Amino acid sequence: MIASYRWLQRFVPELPSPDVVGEKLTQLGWEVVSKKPWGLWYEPVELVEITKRVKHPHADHLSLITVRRRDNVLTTVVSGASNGFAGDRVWYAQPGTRLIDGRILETVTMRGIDSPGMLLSAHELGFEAGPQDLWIWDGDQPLGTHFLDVLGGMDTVFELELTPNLAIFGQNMRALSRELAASLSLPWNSRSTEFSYGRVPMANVIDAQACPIYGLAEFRIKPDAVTPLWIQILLKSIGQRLIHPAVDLTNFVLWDIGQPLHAFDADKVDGKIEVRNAVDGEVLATLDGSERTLSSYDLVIADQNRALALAGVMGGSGSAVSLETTRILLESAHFDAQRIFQTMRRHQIYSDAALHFGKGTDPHAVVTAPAQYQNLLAEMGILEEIGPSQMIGIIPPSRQVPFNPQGIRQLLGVGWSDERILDGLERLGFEKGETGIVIPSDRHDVEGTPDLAEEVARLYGLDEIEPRMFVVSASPGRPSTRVSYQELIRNSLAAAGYWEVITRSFTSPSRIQRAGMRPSPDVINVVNPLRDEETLLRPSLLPGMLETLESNRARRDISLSLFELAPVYTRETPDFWQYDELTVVRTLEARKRYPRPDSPHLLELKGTLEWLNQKCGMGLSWKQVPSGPEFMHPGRLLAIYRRDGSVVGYLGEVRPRIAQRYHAKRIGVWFMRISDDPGVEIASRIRRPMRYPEVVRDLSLIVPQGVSYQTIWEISHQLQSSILQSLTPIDHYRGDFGHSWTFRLVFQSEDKTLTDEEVERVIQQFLQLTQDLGVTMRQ
Amino acid sequence: MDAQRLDSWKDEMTREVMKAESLTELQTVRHQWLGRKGKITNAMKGLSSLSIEDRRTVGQQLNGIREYALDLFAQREQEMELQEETRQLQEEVYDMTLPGLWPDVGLLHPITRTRRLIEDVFLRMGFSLEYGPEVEDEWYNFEALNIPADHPARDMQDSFFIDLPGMVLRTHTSPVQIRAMKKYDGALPVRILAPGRAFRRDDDATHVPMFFQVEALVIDRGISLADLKGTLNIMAHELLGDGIKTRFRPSYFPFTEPSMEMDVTCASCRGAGCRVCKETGWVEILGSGMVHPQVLKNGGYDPLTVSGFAFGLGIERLTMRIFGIDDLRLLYQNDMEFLSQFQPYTGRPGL
Repeated sequence: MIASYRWLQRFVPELPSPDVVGEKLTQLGWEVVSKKPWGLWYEPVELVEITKRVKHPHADHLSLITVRRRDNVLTTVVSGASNGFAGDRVWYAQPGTRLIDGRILETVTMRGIDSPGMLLSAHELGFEAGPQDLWIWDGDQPLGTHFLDVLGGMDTVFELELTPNLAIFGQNMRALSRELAASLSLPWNSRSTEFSYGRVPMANVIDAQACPIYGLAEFRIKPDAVTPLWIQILLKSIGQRLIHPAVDLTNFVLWDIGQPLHAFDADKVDGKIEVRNAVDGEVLATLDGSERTLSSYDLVIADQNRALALAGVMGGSGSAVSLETTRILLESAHFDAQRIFQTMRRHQIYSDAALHFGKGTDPHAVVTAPAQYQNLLAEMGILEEIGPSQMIGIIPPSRQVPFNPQGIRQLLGVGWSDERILDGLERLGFEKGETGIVIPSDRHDVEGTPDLAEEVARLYGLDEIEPRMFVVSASPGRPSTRVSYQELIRNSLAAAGYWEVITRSFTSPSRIQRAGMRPSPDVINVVNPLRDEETLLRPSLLPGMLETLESNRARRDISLSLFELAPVYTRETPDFWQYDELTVVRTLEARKRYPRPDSPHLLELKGTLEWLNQKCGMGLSWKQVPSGPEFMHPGRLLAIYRRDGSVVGYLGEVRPRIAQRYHAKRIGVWFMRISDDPGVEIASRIRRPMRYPEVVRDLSLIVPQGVSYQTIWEISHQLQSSILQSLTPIDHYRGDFGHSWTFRLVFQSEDKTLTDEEVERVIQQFLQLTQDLGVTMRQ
Repeated sequence: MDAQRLDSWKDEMTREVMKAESLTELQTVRHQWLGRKGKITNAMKGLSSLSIEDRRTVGQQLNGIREYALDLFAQREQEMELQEETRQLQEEVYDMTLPGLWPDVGLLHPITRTRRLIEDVFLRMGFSLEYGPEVEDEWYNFEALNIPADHPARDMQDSFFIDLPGMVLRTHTSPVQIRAMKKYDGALPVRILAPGRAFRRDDDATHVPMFFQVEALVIDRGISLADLKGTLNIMAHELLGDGIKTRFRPSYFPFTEPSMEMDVTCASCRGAGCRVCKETGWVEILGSGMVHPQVLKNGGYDPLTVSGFAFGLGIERLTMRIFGIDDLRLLYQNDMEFLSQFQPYTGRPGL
């Protein structure tokens, strides 16, 4: 909403400077988006008198008009205007003036004669003054008067953002000025008078719930009127278009007191008015030039033949007023806010009327608004006769809420006296009634003590409330065990060199398919997605993670190790539609680097799993499997199991064909569901370090195809040797004899220094067992 | 074996030692003199064949020579070791101006770090952490928070709906207020903090459709707006530093009454007024208020005997503020070049 400082002064003549007003508005909860001066461009436009008018020597339709400016300076300009003769006073803009349409005036040569500046029409100044070219000014200001002074000087306009509760009552200058007057302790001029409705049956309200109060009044006026300049100025300052006096006046009343009025041309209305629900499929041509097909949810104002207007939202073009209109049928109504709001949204017509009615208007304004309209017509001198009028429905009695100053003090944590609280409320238009506080008729938002507390807090300013710290029994805050466990996993992975990313929860079928996954029937679809790539809730973190690899690799050739621990979504389970998944991705390409290449390996990813499993006591196990998810490389795949034997995820490589889609030759991935239970409880088993030296033996073995490390490792365990501490592969090569693996066996005893014989005995046992698998010592 | 000959051994040995060019050669010379069959060793073995008188004089002489030899070899060995080392060190000169190899350390997302910072502040103040589902029941997300189906506030909250009837992607973390109240089941005090994701249909430089919020709720007897202000001031100082100033403005949320927003001094201009803060010197940081009586009732608490406050804070906005980021979308592009800038120390050990 735009508010004009000048307009506010109508209600509060002693308003302090615009800066103070801006600060007060902020304190009262009205967000000031901007505060700008208005009228600057009118400054250079000055009042001049025409002294001579002669025909242009080279053009029939042009004249040379000489004008006298301040201090008797004469200037001659070329003009095409049909009016403006010696003795007329007109408005002149000199070269360099910036016009309202953005043009900057220059001295132009028209048919051989220089024309320094321009004589202006009302339209060129942004106003309406009836059918004349130059604006012949009949005011008595001295020559040289600036047009800005005629307007009353500069104005300041505030662009305000209203919260929904303020929009209920505050979208008008009257309410806004009431707040300012209250907070500044200044007198406020409420300016309301009541219209006396007659009892002529002019309308029927069929749906009284949707339209509890409906007023109609006929005014006979002289045609060809012009809206008073002061109203034009105020409407222009808040960015309103000037349309037609009958409409300009309704607009003025709307922004002045917040009551939307509608003016019908009475001669275009056939018989009595009906306020009814539209018939399904009924068509109405609205004032914005569109044809609207209505439904029975829409409320219309109709005559005996057709719908004339979409009630509370927009008039129809068939009954619109025009310059020829002499009988105005003025509607002042009170509608059910929700009905209007819904129609506004359904038809996407965000008219000023709908934005007011849709939030709820002051029922009392049904009576005050026509009185204001009538006064303005009279002021313009065009009101010939007040015709018949009628109001259907009754103005509801004022509401009261109990006055509970102690409750207000407690809620705010202040020590304000009853008197101070009451005084504040009264300044805002509340009154002390018999049973409590009487709520002003426009304040639908106020319901009880917390609302009244908010009113006084706003009025006196939240700064008046001294901050304090609540006291409760001291007890430490508790994090959630489940989430702390997840934090441990995050910290561990970050320590292991992985970067945490956060991707959006949305994805789409095509993005899932691109990652080689099949969209599951269990996905949850977004009914109103923002874009095609975000039509469903991700069933897996993987597509988003691969895309993160892709977007990074598209820009720079770096190796990436990423993880995310976040929810994925499924309709699998009946009442909780998300579970937490951990996904780790790593590019597996060697990158040249001095002094040795950086060559990440899939086993490093597996190592991270092994390490994390121990570090976080996850209780997981894994096994190489020949097949799994279709997007995974089947030759390098581990299935990961929970203690109960169920598969919780996989670790391996994405099929290279799919990896290439994401700018990477090879991508290692590990994804698994994170269980809701924290890690397995593990008793601490810290033992003493061994005091006797270890003995190291490296064995080079020829291992047949198909024998896995796992098998060999298991054999080493079958030995049940208390001195064989570890068996790790340290070298591998492939020759014509097959695979050669070098294993390092480490022996150590807790209670003595080992002899060669003891070590040799274990090695021989080991070799004997592996012989059965076809393993031999390399010669 | 005469004394003169023995005297000449010293010169002979010294010459040989000086001639040796490497430790190996020196070892050979040492062996020739002091080894098992070395000249000195042999001579000492031969003492037994001498007369007692000669044995004494020659023996003394031999001992002197042996001492001399031991010294000579040790000294020369040490010299040569030093030379050897010097040579090695000279050979091994390395260009230490070459760039170092950095450790492969990982990184937590700045959103995670900021979230933990906030959690830490409130855990220290005795708040417990609570969580709720992201796919939320419309009742918890709207109705229970005093946002009925046709309330104009739904005008403000443009929500994502999903093909699960009655469910919505939660538009804020506020439904956790209701869930926590139900969990506490009337017990006092309620002091909870609920971090989590929320979703709204917005996407521009200051809004993303998925974002993180932290919700706080305190319910007890006699909780007031003054307590809320006090708590928020403490939070602002803990999170943004002691120099920060706060300002409170009335606002509107359907689930609080009275409602207020907190502004803090603009980081760009430190309160002087600039483009970022629209010349006001202040930037909005959170919405808050006293829990609406209806919301207390919906959570099973009696508004006549208890009161409470609640607030919701956008983690992104705070992250941007703490790290000095001007475009929210950068946080979710996961560009490593962007994220890598969060590795250096930020001046805050707790972050």
